Amino acid sequence: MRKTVIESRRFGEQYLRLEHESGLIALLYPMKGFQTAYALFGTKYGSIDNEFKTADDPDFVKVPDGIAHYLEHKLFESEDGNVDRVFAALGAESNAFTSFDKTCYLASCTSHFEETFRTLLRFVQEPYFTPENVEKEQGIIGQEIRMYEDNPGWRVMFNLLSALYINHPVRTDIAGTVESISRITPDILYRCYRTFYNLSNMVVAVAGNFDPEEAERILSEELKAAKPVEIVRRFPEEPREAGQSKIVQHLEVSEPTFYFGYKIFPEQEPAALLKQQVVLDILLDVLAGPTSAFYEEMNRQGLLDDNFGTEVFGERGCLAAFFGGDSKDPEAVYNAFCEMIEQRKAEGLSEEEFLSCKNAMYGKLLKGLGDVENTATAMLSYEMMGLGMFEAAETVAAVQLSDLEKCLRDCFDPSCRAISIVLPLEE
Amino acid sequence: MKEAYPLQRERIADDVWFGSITDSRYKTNLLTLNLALPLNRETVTGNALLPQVLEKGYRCYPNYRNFSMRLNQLYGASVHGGCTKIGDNEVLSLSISVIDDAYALAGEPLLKECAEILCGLLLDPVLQDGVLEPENIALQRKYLIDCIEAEINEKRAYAISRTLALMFPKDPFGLRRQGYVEDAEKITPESATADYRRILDTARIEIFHVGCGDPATAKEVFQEAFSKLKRHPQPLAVTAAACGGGSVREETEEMKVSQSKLCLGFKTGVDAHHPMLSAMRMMNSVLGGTPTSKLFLNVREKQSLCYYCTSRSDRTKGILMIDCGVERWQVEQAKEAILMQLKAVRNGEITDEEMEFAKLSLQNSFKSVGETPYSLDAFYLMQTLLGVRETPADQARKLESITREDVAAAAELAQLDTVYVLAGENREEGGNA
Repeated sequence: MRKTVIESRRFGEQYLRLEHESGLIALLYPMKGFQTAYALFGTKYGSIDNEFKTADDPDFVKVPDGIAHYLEHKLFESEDGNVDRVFAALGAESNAFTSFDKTCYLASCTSHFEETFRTLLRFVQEPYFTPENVEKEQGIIGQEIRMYEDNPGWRVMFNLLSALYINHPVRTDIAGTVESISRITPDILYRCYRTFYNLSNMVVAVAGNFDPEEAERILSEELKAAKPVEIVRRFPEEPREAGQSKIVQHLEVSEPTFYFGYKIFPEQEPAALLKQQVVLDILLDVLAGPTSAFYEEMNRQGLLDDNFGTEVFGERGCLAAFFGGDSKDPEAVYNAFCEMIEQRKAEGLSEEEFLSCKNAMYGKLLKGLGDVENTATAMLSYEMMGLGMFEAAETVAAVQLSDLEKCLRDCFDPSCRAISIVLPLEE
Repeated sequence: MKEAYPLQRERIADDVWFGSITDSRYKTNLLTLNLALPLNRETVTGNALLPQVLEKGYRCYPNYRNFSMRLNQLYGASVHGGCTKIGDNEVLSLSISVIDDAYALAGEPLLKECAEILCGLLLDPVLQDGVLEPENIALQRKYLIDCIEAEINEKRAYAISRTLALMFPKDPFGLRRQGYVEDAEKITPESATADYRRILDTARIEIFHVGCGDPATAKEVFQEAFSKLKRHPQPLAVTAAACGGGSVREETEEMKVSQSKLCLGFKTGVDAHHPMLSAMRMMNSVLGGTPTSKLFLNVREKQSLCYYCTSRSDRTKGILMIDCGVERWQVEQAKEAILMQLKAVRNGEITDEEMEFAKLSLQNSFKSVGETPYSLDAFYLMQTLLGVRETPADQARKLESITREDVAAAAELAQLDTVYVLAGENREEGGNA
């Protein structure tokens, strides 16, 4: 395996990056003194990858919504039953999550690292789908979908995505619908598996209490190199503009809750994309964070409270700026916000507010380094973007006020924005 | 072999304690200021307001925006105010988390300043004509009311809160942490100021430092600030462990939601000092604490009734709570399935494997306590307030001797008290609404 050391002089930290012959990348970050080892095995496959083929397939296939998440659930089953039992016998914990652009399996343990890590690598490489076990999951995932249907914070965010995006699959719920998952079969699960769980599309990240040499040995023993596949994903053409400017849903809530945001055209090259995200993150804080005149005024008027926050939404091929919270009058907040944006475009931003938010961002990144789980997750996410995890801190350090001002001019076009509101039920 | 108790705790003023855990693994320092008080209906709402009011600034930074600017300059030091219930008592807290001085770009003394900020927030609030700033009180009162009303937004948490209220109608433990709208509406700047003075005068104060910095730096700041105060600390409530045996209360609440929720509240009487504590922990783990537990394997995996179906035991009061999200027409089926699993545990139908998995899972959790400053802080604050001087490793060791019979006996102690159903949309079997 080709080995490189990824290093941060600034923090005096480093980790190993190994390139396996299969094309898989393994990231190993031993952390002294910690009890837990936290391992992630992820594939660049999420809910948005719903139309694809390999170079060898004659045709594209369009798969039912929610299948990446369904596959994640089903991978825990093996011919000998559920893999949870194997982890339990080791005193280890395992779990998994599916997002828009990735699926990750995780195992954490405070002892028996070797067996735990082997188990993680094995079960993800051994699919076992039968009509019976696929059928059985319908009820379970159906209830997971129902649970999210009642979650106002979840609904208001997905509704915003469906307003901003016209064609892109990011507008669809990660878990799909009770109807779409009813069309999932073992055959189609296997086709997704063979395409996206090829090791050349996957990353392993381990952080915490483990010996990197041991991890390397286990990797070389457990990884089953197959011929790399070339994945061709097909995404529909997505206009720059938002699909609709407003979307409203009624739910059993005490007060209106809202999410509004801008759809942004993401940079293609990894370093440029990282810079764009970092600049945006600091900019959102400057515009509407606790140090902003906007937040102060909205709070004084009783329109915004501690629940208000900003977020950079970045998934493969998608970028958006989000603002969300609860308010008795979301439209008033939105109107004031839109007015403020035009005003800031005309007047510019101050060096003082910029530096204060930039400092805070630097501290946030550093705080994350002392946390095993966060470290593994960050390494994996940055690797999937094509970057090392310390590049974020260097990018923050290099950001200038003029970068924020340019971003404000380029990314906050009225035609690219929308608001999503969840209102209490009408009597 | 018993290792040393890592918490170094000493009295620095009248019922004011400073505890510290120094750990070189972290790159940060966490300081928490905890005010412990007995829970009661008259004061719970006013108490809940206070951390919200105080966290917004103090005399040196009277305005929230300027205060936030200062925190940003301290590399995004984050301040948080909150309240939690611990048995029949509650804890109001103010905390600040900051990167260690070693990483400050210009060598700023961050830990010292953060200790000063925390002292300032508690002891030096912004006053206007002798009362807490009326504008801030009005805003935070509105926010508190919104928060109380917003409980309904998170259906699972709402269902559990309703179940607790039904289980403890006349007991402090049944009170809502954030209080009640009708009481919040009566809050004035004068009443909030009186509450503030009462809390500062009577609470037991536990200050914790967890991080890689030198605790002496922080301790000196707190010692200096608190030594000037003349206080009249009051004892905490001695929590009465829940005791069951009455008839089962059943309540169904209709709501327009997609998924129904079922909560089963049990009284066990097994609190932090009970000899059966370790057995109860094992029992909870076997029954519904893990993905290999009986509830997970039977109610979820075998019967596909739920996505989540779990149990949790609470040692601060001696209760057990089982809850799940389920289709309305399957509520009864889920309830029976859950009770059947509990019955199996009572009958001692527990395999060696189940015993082993439960023990390993709990030991893993105990070993993970030290992995973040927040979990370490929460664990030792809880131990301190419950009066238990045991490390996570001590508690993990106690599980070793627990037998199948102990677990069955612990299950016998769980008396079903309340069945609460949040009843949502009614779909026909197999059909979609």
